[in-house]
Amino acid sequence: MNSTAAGWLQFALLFAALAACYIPLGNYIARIYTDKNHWRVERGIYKLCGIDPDADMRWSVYVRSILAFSLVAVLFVYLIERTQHWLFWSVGMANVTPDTAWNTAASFVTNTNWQNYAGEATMGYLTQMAGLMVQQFMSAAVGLAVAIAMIRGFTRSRTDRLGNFWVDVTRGVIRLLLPLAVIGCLVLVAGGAIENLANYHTITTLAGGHQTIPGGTVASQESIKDLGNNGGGWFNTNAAHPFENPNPFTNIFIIFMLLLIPFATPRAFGKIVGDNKQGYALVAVMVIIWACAVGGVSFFETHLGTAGTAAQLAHGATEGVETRFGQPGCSVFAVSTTVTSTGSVNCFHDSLTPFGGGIALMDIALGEIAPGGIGAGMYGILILATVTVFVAGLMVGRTPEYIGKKIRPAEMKYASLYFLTLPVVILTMAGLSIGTKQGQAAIFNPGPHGLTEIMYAFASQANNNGSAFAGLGTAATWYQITGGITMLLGRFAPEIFALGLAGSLARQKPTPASAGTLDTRTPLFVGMLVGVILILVGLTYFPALALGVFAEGLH
Amino acid sequence: MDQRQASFTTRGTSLGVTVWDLFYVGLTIVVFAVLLLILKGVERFER
Repeated sequence: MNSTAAGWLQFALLFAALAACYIPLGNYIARIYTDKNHWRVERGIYKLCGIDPDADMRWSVYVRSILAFSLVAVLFVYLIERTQHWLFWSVGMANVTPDTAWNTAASFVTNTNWQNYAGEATMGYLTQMAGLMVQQFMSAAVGLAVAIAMIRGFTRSRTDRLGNFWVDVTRGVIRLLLPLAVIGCLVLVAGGAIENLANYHTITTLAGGHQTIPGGTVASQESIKDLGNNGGGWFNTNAAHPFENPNPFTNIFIIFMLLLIPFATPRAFGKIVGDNKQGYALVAVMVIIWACAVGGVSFFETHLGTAGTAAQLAHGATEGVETRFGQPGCSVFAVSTTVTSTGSVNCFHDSLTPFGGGIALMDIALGEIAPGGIGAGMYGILILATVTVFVAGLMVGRTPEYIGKKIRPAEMKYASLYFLTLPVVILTMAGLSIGTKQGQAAIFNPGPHGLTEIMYAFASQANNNGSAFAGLGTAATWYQITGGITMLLGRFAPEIFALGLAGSLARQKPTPASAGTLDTRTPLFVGMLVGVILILVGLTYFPALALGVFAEGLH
Repeated sequence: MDQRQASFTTRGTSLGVTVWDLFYVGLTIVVFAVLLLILKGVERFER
């Protein structure tokens, strides 16, 4: 089978599997967050933590809860990393250096999982499990909670209450992430991924050399890393390591896991607002962008990257590609990990062709809404949908409405603040890195490619993706600090504006649809939303893309 | 994705809080304080 057919077969299999899960999983997610009853284990957690599960929070209290929870989490993960050598299951690892420990703590609490270290040579088992893996569950649950609170903004009226943050997070972990992660872990173990607490073994190879074989609870971390759109690998080479991703079956299963919840969330949205067609419209936008990105990267990697005998014989650009998965396995994975906020990789993104890598960068710059990170993709696309109906309303001279709520100047201010935050953070940090000696000292590739590497690094961190282009010395203190700040601001500032918008919507009374209301369930609206997304991102990042990706690709 | 390869043969560092620890704890608090200020600004805008 040639690589093009193999790629499309993988895509078709993924599409079929995700389509089959769309309704049942989406309905289940909706039921989790609309259920009036608390499970016994949940009641135990609330009692232990002194939480009143029936308290309804104002949107600003919801935000304060997120910030307080995340602040404690950053400090806790930092403490574990800095003291791991004296704790148990350190497997001989030294305490993590302060800059790496802080960057990593910010990274995992924000669902980014940007890694400036080699996991198997830096983190002990306790740090991996109690520090990083716990945050892979919690940060994913926080993202989903914000999305659900945002949806409540559309369904509630004459109130500023958006639900209970602690209940939403607890339910997300107990009812959704833990059960799916257990299933995912078992499938990965069956596929050959390792899961143990064994010490590292040093063996003598047939050639007489010595090799250290690491262990770890790899399958369980791999499972939540993908289901929660986290992306932080146990090993330095992430999902290209055979202990994490042993074969083509586990490779496609991993891609399936990282797309599963984000693609099912629009169904939950449709279910909660009582109009499933609204969910279909949003998921159609997501599928269109994802499919175009897969097609684009596959095309560039198999047609424009074939200079040289080796690449021609292999039918594609093969530098940095894991030979067990081939070019199709790399292209589908690279797109799926960047359109979600996962950031896990099975091939080297820095080795993608200029335009192939450019699409990966664009996927991230889109704000990761196709389908986006767990929860984050949902509230991101809802805000862009409000912008779209506002633009449509300007065209016909009517007050725009979305899901029965008017989109007035106040709502547009929240939306504008939301989608301006990330470009401001990304372009400011990239500009500072290019314009200062500290930033320049770590740029190993000057010229257009170096610019793309810097842009990719800050876009990835601000959008909480976590994948890297490499070629940039991000372990330098400058990038550890600016990166950590970027991740924290990129995660929580947009959530403040999203929940502010939700609060504003919740205070409104519903507006019945009239003859002049734009129907947001039609192909016309789907096309408009795709257009608005591409134009907004294109206008924002075009200068940087022109100097980086286009200059390199057209050279 | 990871960008720095560390050594397998590592040793523990001495116990004690360094200036860098204080710096990063302080930086964390500052960043969250900025986020809280943004929240307060939005609340003022809301009123």
